[in-house]
Amino acid sequence: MKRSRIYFLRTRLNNGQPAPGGALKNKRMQWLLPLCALLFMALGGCEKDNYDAPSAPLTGRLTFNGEPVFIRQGINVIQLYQPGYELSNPINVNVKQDGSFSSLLFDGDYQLIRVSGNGPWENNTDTIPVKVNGATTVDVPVVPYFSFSDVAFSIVNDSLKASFRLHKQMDNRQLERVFLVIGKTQLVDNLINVNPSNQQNPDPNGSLPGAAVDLSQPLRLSYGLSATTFTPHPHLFARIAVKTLGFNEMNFSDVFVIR
Amino acid sequence: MSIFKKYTFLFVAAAALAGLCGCKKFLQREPTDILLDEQVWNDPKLSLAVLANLYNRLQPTGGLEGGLLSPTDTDEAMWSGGLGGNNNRNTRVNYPYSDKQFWPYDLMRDVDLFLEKLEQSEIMETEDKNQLLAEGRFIRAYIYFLAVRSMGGVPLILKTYQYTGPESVTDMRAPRATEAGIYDFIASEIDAIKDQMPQTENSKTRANKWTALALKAQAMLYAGSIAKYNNLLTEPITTPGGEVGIPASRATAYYEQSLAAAQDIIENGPYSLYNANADKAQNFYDLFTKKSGNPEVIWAFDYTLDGKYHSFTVENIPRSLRENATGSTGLVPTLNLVESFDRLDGSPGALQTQTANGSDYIYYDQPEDIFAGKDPRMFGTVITPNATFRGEKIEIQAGVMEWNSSTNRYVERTSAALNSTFSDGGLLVAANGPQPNAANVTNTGFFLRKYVDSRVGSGQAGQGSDVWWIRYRLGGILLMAAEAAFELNQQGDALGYINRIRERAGFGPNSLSSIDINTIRHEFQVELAFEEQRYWDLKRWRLSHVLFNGSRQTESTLAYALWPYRVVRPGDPSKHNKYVFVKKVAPRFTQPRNFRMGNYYSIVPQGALNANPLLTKNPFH
Repeated sequence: MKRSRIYFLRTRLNNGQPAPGGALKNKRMQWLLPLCALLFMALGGCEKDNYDAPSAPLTGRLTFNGEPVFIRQGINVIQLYQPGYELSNPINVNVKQDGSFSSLLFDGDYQLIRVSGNGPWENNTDTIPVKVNGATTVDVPVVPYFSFSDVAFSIVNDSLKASFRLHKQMDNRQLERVFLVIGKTQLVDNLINVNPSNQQNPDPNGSLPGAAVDLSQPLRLSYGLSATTFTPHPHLFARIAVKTLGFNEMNFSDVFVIR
Repeated sequence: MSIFKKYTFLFVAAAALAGLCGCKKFLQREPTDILLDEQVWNDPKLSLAVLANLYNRLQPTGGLEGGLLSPTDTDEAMWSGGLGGNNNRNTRVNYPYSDKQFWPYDLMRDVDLFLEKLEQSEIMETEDKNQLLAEGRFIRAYIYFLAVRSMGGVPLILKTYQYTGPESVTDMRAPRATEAGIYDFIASEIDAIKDQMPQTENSKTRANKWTALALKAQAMLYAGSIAKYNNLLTEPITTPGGEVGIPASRATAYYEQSLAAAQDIIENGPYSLYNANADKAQNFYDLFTKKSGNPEVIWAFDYTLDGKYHSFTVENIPRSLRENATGSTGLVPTLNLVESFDRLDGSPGALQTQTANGSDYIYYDQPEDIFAGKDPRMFGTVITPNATFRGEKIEIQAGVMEWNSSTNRYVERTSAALNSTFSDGGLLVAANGPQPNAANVTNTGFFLRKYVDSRVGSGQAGQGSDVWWIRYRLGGILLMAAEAAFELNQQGDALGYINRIRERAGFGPNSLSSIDINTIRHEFQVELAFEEQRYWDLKRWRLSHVLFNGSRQTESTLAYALWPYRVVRPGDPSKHNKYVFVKKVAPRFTQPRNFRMGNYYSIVPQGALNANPLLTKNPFH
């Protein structure tokens, strides 16, 4: 072995030309080294990177009295923590606009928190313990500022009509406005929509100020669909949005497909 | 083996050499490439160099360099430059929670180190030492102010820590101070140091007594308004430990401290409002660009063409004047800002583009006529159509409105080519646009003037501009005094301060006879536009989530544009070749601004939370 090493060095010194007299032996050595490396990697590789990917799906939804709670997609309302480790990074759980969420986790004990103030519901700082063992389902109860019932959409003479009842859940909350949002994709909320701006004369029947609303009666909204912001879009979707005074996140109804 | 002999010889020779020279400490020499502690801290000049380094690192995310995009966080401006990364300012759905995040503990350690080393120095003259110490403490107070307005209460670290092993880490952990605690710290530091600082103003870039008082006036005003307006929210933003939120009962005391500091500067300070030019618009522009003998500036971050210059002018110069092959027209002021400037006769500043019943345009002889009678500060802040910059008329025209007599309507004619000519031989699209989707062409119909250098050559990338960034000026102090006085029910004083500002601006003496809080806020908006104030002002008034509520129906969420057109209507000489204007949402600004409650305080870095279990998160994160 010692001899061969010297040959190898001498090869390098001679600009890659085999040393005179040692040609045959040296050639054999040249492929030995990569072979050893390959063999080592092949044998050692199975030992490395031996973590499985997280495989336990945690699914759930936001509920109020067993009914789903609809939100603006993309708000940061649910976080998971797994205590007992060095780092305390939260796992942010994305909640879809229909209130459902899913997350792929490792088996273990988690703490689920509802991030205060971010959702259109009363703060609740209670932690929900979640034990994940294989596929797990958890419902996250919240008390929205306003809830819907008897929601019905229809289209009459190129005008979208919505009728519904609105229920206030806490006495100290005031209704600021209830209005229709219309979007060109299934994702539609108070930010992502094609509602006309003030300059473009929005339909006054599409919005009710809170002061004009009698919550004991069914409410009606309508929106003419001939506005120039709607006509170019082949598909339109609508939701009812409820703005509570003092809070920017709104309660929503489910999505209705206009066309 | 001959090689062994060779090594042995070398070894013996080296040993002999070391033996001979060792007694003269050959290996212990003064280093020639670093300075030692005692060299630095015993020499006022070298200590000053360390201080200069600290001054230079004060505001990494603000000013004319790091803060280039910050006016786009408010209704002042939008991005109209390149279509790359910066364009996300026009399309982002939310302000990120990490926006304005400031966790400056690397800088803070260097400041604390500076103070500790200087304190130990024995040779330096007491006077030099005390002044440097006071300046260092001022810098520290200023950094804490920048931190508290972004993050709420942060850990108050007033000494350096040395790592001596894993067990020393626990002792280094400090919890966050309360928000009120940081503001109180700033006030007490300034009270303690202001008499050790230079009492006269001999530098605009180093702190003196008046600079310290300006910081105190500002910090106390922020604390007072948070104490007052946070508690007026439907649900005040607080944490149980007080890291965020100040009790309402403390508002009055904070306002009083702010007013006292501001009045001290106004009455006893060596400053006066800049009023050297009889042309009020030019005067307001000169206030920011004339550096020598400027009596208004209290504290600035200076630049020099000897190697320290910035590219603010390269980024923001009007397209037709650009001196660089790329760039220009980065920040463009919005119509929202332009309309917020009142008229000199006291009427509101909305621009009239259509007749009262909306049936027809209003025809102007010249594009500049629509702005007649506006506050001269508007012309000092914004380049409007046909205004003059660097001696050249800045033409801004989106196209022509050609009358079609068979349909009785105007047809809008535009072109993708800048500086193009219409079939009648007149101008079609001006060299500056506006155009709907082009990069480096104005999107709103305006250009920025404030802080943009009028010196030819300052728009070249290799050279740049040496216009300084003003942190405090007397005009701002007067506004602070006005707000604090108003909040303390001293309406007469508040009115006096506001009228002083307005008189310099070009309004007559005593142009207002009564004020309310909205008058004062409006004055903040127009006087301090593009000075990186409005974002923070709206935040402390707790108005950001109201003005930037994400709704297209709220005007302040969108950047509006004013596009001028030339009328081609030869059949009607009263309208032919006149100018009309169209108000619209700036085409490149597609997403309404949405300021969430979680944006009132930036997110605490996760790395800090992981390293220190004593830290608490800010609300909503």
